[in-house]
Amino acid sequence: MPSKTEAKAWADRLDNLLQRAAAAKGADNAEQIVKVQRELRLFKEESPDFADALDRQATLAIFDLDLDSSAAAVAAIRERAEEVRKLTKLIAGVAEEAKADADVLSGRLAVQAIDAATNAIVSFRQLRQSLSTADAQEGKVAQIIDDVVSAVQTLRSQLEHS
Amino acid sequence: MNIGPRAARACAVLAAWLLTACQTIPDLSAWDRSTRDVGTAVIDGFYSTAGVNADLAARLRRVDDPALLARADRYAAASKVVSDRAEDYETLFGAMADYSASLAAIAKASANSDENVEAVAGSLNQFIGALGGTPLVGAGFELGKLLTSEIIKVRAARDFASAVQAADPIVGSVCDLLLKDLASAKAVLATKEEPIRTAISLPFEDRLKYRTLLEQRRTTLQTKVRNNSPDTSLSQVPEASEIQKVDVLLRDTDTWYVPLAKDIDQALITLSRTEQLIVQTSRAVGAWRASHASLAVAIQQKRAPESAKLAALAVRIRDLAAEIRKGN
Repeated sequence: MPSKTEAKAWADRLDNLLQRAAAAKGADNAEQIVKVQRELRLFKEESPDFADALDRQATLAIFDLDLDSSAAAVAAIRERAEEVRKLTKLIAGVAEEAKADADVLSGRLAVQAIDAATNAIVSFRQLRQSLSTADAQEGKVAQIIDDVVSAVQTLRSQLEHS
Repeated sequence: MNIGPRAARACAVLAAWLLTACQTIPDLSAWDRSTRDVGTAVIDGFYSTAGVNADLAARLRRVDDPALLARADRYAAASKVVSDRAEDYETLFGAMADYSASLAAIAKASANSDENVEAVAGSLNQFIGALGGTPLVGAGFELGKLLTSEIIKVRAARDFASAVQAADPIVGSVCDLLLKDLASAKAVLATKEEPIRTAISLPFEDRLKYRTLLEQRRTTLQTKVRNNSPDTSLSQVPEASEIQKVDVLLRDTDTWYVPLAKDIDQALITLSRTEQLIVQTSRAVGAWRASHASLAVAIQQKRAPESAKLAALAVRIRDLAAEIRKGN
């Protein structure tokens, strides 16, 4: 059976720890909170068997210090939820515009460009056939048309594979 | 239709402008990848923070104590809030990934076609110049169609810049919000070490007290032995045999103590990595913000955006996230 003095000594020690815990929590000082939590755990380890009731209070204090210190942070996270949703809508709008622009190179407008390039090649070939090989000036133009057709074919191939 | 020298010059200027416009788009694949890395790190960070709280809730529920059950409920509620935030960010970064992927696609397409545009523009210049002095019919019309198709690339280049400019303040707001939320997540983790130790140890409290008593007894006995003369034989030291007995008893406790210590160590390692992930992710968010801002400037200055710091941070946060997943 423990003496009253011994029991009181352990109770006083816990009381002192709980007062420091309240001060650390009041100051929202994480470093001090962790320090008191550690001392509360050591209290539990070192206290005698008859101090079970005190140990239980120390245990609850360790969790309460943590929960109280993080409650404000959790509440702040919850309060900012609407802001995240608002920003999601905004960036989704910009993403939609950017996506439409990306589609320009691979979607409907790219198909139009391929058609235009194909038509240009057909027209250039017709033009090329109508040119006289005997005429030096027209022969020069024919050579340029060959270069253009080759370049346009490469461009069309790139658009088709982009 | 004939094409005159003035029209030919105009077409030549247009072709040159087309070429210049297409060359101003920098490669955005690194930035696109970084956006995904930052998004993944943010989401991992929040899920991991939620996991630390959920784990505490689960451990407290296993102890049959109504007072602890109430605390378990509070941890579970905190876990839900943080987990919901991870889902919000998944949606947000889904949109952000669409945005960055679109920009990267525009830049890639433009980069791939630079050579062709140059070849076409050069040939067009020669062709138009040659046709300028000839009475050939129809050439101007076809050239006009060809040039119209080239306008597509210019439009992409102009809208790319517009998209980045329009998105920069939004990206800034996302970063500000993220940094606030990450600071909150860090605060949520700051006082978790002792609760984790306590929650894991709760079912072993009586046994831990017993082990603590044995350790204290051994220390007392060792102190007594140390106070003997160095010349004294151990066989003459009365405490020696008791130390042996205490050591045996302590070793017996290892059957439950070693797994318990391992469990605590693993939980604390996860906590530490989660804290590091939050810190590194905050840094990555800052670098990502700067990278996007440099993107807008890079377009104007016709150079690649800054992304080296961001890439280095991305590697670190990927590793941390992998370590957390491996540990769980």
